[in-house]
Amino acid sequence: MSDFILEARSVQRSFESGEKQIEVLRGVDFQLKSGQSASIQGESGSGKSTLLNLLAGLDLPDGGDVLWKGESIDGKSGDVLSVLRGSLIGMVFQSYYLVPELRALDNVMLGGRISGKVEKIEERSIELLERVGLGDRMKSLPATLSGGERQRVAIARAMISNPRILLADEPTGNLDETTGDSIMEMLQALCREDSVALVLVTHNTAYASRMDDSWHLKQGVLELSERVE
Amino acid sequence: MPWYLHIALRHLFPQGKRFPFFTLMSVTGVSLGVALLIIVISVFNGFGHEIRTKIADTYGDARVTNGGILYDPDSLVASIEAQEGVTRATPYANGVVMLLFRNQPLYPIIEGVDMRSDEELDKLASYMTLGDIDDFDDDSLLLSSGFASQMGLLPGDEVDLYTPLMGLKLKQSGGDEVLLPRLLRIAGIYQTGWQRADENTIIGSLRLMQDLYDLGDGAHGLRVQFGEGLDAEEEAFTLTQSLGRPYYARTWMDSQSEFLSVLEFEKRMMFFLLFFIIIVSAFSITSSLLISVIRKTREIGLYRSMGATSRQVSACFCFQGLLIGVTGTMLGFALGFLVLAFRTQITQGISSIMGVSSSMKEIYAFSYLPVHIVPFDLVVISTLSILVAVLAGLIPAIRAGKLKPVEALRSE
Repeated sequence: MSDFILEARSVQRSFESGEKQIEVLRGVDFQLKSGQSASIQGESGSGKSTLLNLLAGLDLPDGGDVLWKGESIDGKSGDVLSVLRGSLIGMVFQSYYLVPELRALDNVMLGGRISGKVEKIEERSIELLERVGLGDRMKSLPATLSGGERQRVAIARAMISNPRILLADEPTGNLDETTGDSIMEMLQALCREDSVALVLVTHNTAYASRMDDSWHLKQGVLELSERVE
Repeated sequence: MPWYLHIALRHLFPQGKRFPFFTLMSVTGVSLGVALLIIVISVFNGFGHEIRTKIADTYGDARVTNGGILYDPDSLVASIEAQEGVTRATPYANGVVMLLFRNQPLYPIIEGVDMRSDEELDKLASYMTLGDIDDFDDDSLLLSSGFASQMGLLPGDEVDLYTPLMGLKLKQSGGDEVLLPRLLRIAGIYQTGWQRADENTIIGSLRLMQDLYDLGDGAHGLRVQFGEGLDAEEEAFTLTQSLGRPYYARTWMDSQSEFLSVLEFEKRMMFFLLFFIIIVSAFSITSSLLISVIRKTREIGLYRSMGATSRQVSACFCFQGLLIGVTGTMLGFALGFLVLAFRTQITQGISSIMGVSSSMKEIYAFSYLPVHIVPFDLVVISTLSILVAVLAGLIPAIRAGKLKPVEALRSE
């Protein structure tokens, strides 16, 4: 049994662009232990988000394997993967992706409802929103929230299903520096307190350096540039 | 409530936001279709019901005959009226006669009614358009409106009436006995609203018919009325069984089966044609939901990233079709019943705006727009409307369910 909660072994992924075949990932290896954090850096278009989607099981590799808690996800149907993902992985996106028709509290509760973790869902959602500093904006619709507040709601939504892994795709990409800093601090604190493994895709070197492992993706190859033992 | 049903509800009816335009259009389409179906079918049923009531009124719920002449109708009346479910039985006689007026002969069907029955006379009085029922006696006739206008007869005119018995008597007596035609006065003109009764029928007294057809105290049969709400066919069957041969009870439905099937066919055709409105609104639901799937593609990707299965995503959009169908049907019912409740004011309003007379009585023999609501029709309308709305939601639902999570999240 593997020690890693999330692992990629020789993952390959390519896309067709007209008659051309573009190899985005050329045999990527990645490992993350439970409760650890890792950053993935790289230039725009280097395949960071593609790798994150593969790690989340949202996309399937052309070659290689992705393992969750030591178990390969290869051969599992889309719906089986969805259910497993709902209980294991939380995701945070650059563009927040809040449901515009739902209030902040309902957006957070939605995460729990979809993943099937509905026990005391309202109390837990309120508690999470208070932890991310939005205790007074629970009944607000996303349209009335600032970018930072929306990202906080999105983080609370990702955490409501008690995930073991949080995948964050440039969570501060749309925010100013000050707001980005506070979001990052909050994200790290939440993961630390709840022992959630964090994978952060970012362009920001300062944020990347705060993670246990720093990975760099270049020309389809992922290299470990720094590891805090 | 499952999350996908909650999301479907919020997509259609968001909190604290304006009612989405696409929801409004889809629901309105179904509502208008359902309302129109309810209004037209109920009015159609109303006309049918009125006509049936008039046929039952003029024919009776059933007629009992023995295939010949009932020589002692009063004892049969007593025996039939003692039966459970029978409210009234009255003797009648009918046949064909020749009527001569200003040398113009016509051959109407004559129906002899029992003048001892107040109910029969009251019913006749309710259909009279000219003349007075009090002037009706054994030496007078009531003419149907169509027959009266064909001959140019009015109350007070006198006509000569010849029966087939005249020729028979002449033949039987070897030319010694000649029956003279009866000179009869026109007491009134009636219109039932049932074309067949209003075209070529006249009414005389039973006594007159007994004289004309040499029936003595006999009759050709008994007109039977059953209790309110009873099934005439069932009651007639029971009556036939209990009377035994040679008596036979025949309902008005048996005698008018062809006419009734035409009425039913017309109603079905109307339903079929109007249902296309619901089908058109289904296309509007499909296009609205497809637009919604495209607009919410990234949202669908998000649901999948949080653990939603493709079936749950499909159910979300399918449920929206169901919700539109249910809401539209409910509003359609409300609108339909509202229009039916104020139909008189609406028809009068339309008539006054268009500057035409709204005298429906002149055309249909009804002074109002008749409406008859049949619960079964409402069940069929609501079930089919909701079913079509659900089917309309299926295409967008399947499309939403088939979206690949990563492509959905990447979409612009």
